[in-house]
Amino acid sequence: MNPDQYKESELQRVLTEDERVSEQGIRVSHLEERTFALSGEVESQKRKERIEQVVAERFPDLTVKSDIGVTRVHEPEEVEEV
Amino acid sequence: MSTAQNSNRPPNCVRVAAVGDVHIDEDVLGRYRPALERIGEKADVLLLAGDLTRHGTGDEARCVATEFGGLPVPVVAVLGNHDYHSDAQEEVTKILDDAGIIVLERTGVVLDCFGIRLGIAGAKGFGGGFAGRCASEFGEPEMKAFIRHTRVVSQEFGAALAGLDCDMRIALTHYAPTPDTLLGEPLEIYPFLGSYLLGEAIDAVCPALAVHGHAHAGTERGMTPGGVHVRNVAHPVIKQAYSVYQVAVPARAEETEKAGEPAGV
Ligand SMILES: [Fe+2]
Ligand SMILES: [Fe+2]
Repeated sequence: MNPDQYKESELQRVLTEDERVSEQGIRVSHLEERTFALSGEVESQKRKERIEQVVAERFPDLTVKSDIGVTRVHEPEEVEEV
Repeated sequence: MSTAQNSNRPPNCVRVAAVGDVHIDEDVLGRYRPALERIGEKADVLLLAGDLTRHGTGDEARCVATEFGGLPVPVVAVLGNHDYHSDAQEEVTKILDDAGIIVLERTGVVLDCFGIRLGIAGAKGFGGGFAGRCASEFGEPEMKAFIRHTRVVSQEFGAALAGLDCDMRIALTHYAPTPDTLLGEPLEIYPFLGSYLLGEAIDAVCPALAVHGHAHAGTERGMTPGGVHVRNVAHPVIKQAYSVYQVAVPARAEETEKAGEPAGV
C-alpha cells in the first residue's frame, strides 16, 4: 500500500472539514512521491491564499502545488434558448 | 414585480437567470453586485441553486441577503448542503426571506411574468446515485436513513412541482437529477452529487427546465432520462455571475393535461 494514498485522502478531507477552508470543489492529484497538486476554483483570492496556507500548516512534510483559480463574475453576454 | 423596461423581450417566453454555489461570506461581498445591476434588462427572475453560504451561519446569510437582495427581479432560492452545516438552516431561511428572497424547500411559488404564470418548485434534494448504480434503503439504520431522506424529499418535491397552477414549470434543486450534468466529476462520487429519484420526480411532471448546482466540476447542459432540459449552474461551471435561459411557454393543452391539484406555497 502506498502511504501517499492516505495522505491524499487526508488532504481531501482537510480541504472540506477544516472550517477555514470548507471547500468541496478542490481536486487533489498525486504527482509523485510526497508531492500533490490542487486544482479547482474558489470565490476569492483570499480563499485561495488561505487554502495554500492551511495546507502548508497541516502538511509540512508534503510538497503541494496549487493551481487554484478564482471564478469570474462577469455579466453574461449570451442568452440560451431552451 | 415589474421589469417593464424590457420592451424588446420576446413574447411567450420567460428569461430565467440562474447561478448556484456562490458560497458567499464577507470576503465576497460586493463581488456579484456589478453584474447584477442590469439584471432587470436581461432576465425576468433569478434562481439561486443552493450553497449560498460557506458554513450556513446567520452572518453569512446576511451577506447573501446584501448581495442578492433588493434586485429588480424576483429572486427564488433553495438551500444547499453548505447552508445546513451549522444546523441554522431555519435562521438562514428567515434572513433570506426577510430580504425578499423566496426560499423553497419541497414547496412551490407562482410568479406573474408579463402575464405568464411561472411556477417554480424547489428542494435541496440529496444523493444516492443513478440508474443501475444507486444505493438502496437497506441494512444499517444509517444507510436506510440516507436513502429514505432522498426518497421523501423527492416525493414531496415532485408533489410540489405537480401541484403548481401555472403556464410554465421550472424545477430548482441543489443536488443533480441526472448524471449528464456531472460529466467532469469523478464517477466514484456521483452518489454524493445527486439521485435518479429527483429525476424521476421531475420526469413525472415534465417541467420546461430543471436547474441545479452542487457539482462544481460538472457540465452545464444535460437532460433527464425523460428528456427534460437540465442546467447545472454551479458558479465554477458557468464561470460568470449567472447564466440566462430563455424558455418558451409549452403548448397549453399539454400543460393542462399534466396539471394536478393546486399547491400550497
Ligand atoms: Fe457548492
Ligand atoms: Fe453543495
